[in-house]
Amino acid sequence: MVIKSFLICFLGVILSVSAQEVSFSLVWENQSAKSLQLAGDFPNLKIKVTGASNFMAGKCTVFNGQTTFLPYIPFTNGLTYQAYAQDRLLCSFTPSTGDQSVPTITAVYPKGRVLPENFLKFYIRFSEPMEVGKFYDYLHLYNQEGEEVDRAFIRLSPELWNETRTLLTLWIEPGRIKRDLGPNRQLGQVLEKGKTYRLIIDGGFRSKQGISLEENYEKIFEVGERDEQKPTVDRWEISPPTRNKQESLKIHFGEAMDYAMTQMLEISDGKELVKGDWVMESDEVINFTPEKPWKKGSYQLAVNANAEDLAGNNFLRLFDVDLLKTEVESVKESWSVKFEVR
Amino acid sequence: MKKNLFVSLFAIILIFSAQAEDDLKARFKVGNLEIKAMNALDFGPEGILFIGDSENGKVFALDTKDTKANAEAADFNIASIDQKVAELLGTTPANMTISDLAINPISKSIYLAVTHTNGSSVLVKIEDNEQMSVVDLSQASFDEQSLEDAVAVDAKDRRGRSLRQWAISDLNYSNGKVMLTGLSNKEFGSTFRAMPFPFDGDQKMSSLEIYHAAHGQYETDSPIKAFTTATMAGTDYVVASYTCTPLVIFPASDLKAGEHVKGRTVAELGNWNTPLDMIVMQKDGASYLLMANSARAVMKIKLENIENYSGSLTERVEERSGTAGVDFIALPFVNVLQLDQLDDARFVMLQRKADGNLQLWTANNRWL
Repeated sequence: MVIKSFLICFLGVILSVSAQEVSFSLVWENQSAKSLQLAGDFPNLKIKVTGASNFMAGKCTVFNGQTTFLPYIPFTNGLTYQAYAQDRLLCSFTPSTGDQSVPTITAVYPKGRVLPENFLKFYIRFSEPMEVGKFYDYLHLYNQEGEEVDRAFIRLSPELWNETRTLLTLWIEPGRIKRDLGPNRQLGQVLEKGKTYRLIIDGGFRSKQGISLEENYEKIFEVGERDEQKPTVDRWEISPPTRNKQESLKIHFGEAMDYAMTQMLEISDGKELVKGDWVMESDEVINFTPEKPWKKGSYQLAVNANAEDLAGNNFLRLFDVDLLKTEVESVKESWSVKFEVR
Repeated sequence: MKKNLFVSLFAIILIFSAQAEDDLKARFKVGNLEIKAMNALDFGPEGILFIGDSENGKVFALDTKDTKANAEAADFNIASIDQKVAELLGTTPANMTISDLAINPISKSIYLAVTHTNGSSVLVKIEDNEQMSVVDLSQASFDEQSLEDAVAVDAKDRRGRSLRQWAISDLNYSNGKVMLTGLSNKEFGSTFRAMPFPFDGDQKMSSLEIYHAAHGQYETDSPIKAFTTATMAGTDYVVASYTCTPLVIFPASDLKAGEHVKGRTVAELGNWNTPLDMIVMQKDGASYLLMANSARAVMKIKLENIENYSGSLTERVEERSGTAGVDFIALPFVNVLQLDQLDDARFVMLQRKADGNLQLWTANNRWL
């Protein structure tokens, strides 16, 4: 038997191997080892993690002198696997990506240093797709005395990730913000006006590839007044763009708004929606860059009534409503503002 | 003649039962069921498993074809189930999470929604306490329903997908309706959805705003963490527990599109605690709500007490981690993550033991 060892470089991905009984390769897709291919017919191929008592599930196909094993989830990077035919060890392998990009936190929204006492949610942007289901183990909030604030966040299961797992939404414990609920009455607000806090994300938090953040992330912020006002378009200032140019439309909200504002606005020229990208320049300012240059004419900017400020107050109602203060409830689905491109 | 009549009746019954099955699965298609994030499971009739997929923003109805009745199911008792599931998937417990557990009421098989830290999700089936397998979804028979309203003014990206991010926290099927709750990144509130099953394709879905009052003064909406359905005095109710502790009930008949539904707060079940899962069990003609919690033991509440509770929780609960409202009994089961009913007399729990390992085990109704 010729002993062959095989080193595969595929899409920048390296597979570390030792002496092996048969030739093999891993098939990679999106930096995940999706399947194992072996030279030879091994209809009874079985694979397990080294040290495991049981073999893993997967689909084994034999075709043209080649055996393919397709696990239900990709092989885990960093674990060592052993492939057997009956009791014969065919090969062992440790999937590892050649791309060892160290993940970083590229932004935390809101960006401002002062947040309202009834502040509701953070958004955390990562440079790489991150692991799921483990984030809260790495999350801390410390007060200015250096003590960890207990039960500051709601531990959502599942965590609230975007599709690429690069943006996480993080909620302050709502039971402690809502006035007169049990946690609020007994534990008080998470954040106290006039105090300084540190949001920490431990460097041990890993990317999907199993690579840890290089260092702890820290955001220091101060706590200001409670926000008990609904957002309103009356405070908005629009800087209209120039016609025949592809320049940005700039909207000043007059207050800090939730990062999800990028998904809550639409511009229409009266006939159809204007396509383009929304980017928060700061917590108070958003920019819209159209795909095509602006044309002269009247436009309508509409905001979804569910859009929120930093305290979860939307255009329809406050985050918690004091029934002793009578209030006429709005029922509109959106508000709009007109502007002209000249 | 008598025999002929019998045969005819039998044939008619067969036709009707076949018809009923056709009706529920008439829209099902066969293909690769690509689930991105399997977060919540519940069984409906005829072996249909409903799967909540947060990342796709969809509910799938999967025909498990697992419909062989099993009246004599053995107890499930699997130590270190997380280790065994991890080995089945070729990974380690540190790299995966069991998101939900559902028991097929016909076959008594257990289905687990398992998520790898790399984001992959799989459905694991456990039969007869020991046979564990991954359910192959590449040639599945299924239907699906989007969670977005057809008329929603949600922003779309350039490929027309909704930009809303979902975190489905619980899903239940009851009386021809799939109900689910969760959080959306876009707005705070009770993103509670109720949709008819079979899915109608027209997305005639109730998007409910469910409010609860706190001590008469403040009215707020909030995400519901866990819920179930229960019949009290002949009326079907949804019993729901919020992330911020109140337990509320509202009539299932209120589940109409566009309705502003206000739940009646019947209890606050203690701070430092998040409800995780709940089921209803019966014993000696009485019904009991069992609720698993993040920081407290499994709670048992007699539904009759909820039904009869007419208080409004006006008294302050001064004691730290205090509770108020209907009485509950703490069962000696701590760190229970998931619950489901095995049969009329038994329920199955997924419990984290003191050594950190997960155990799947069965308790009987002597605890009720």
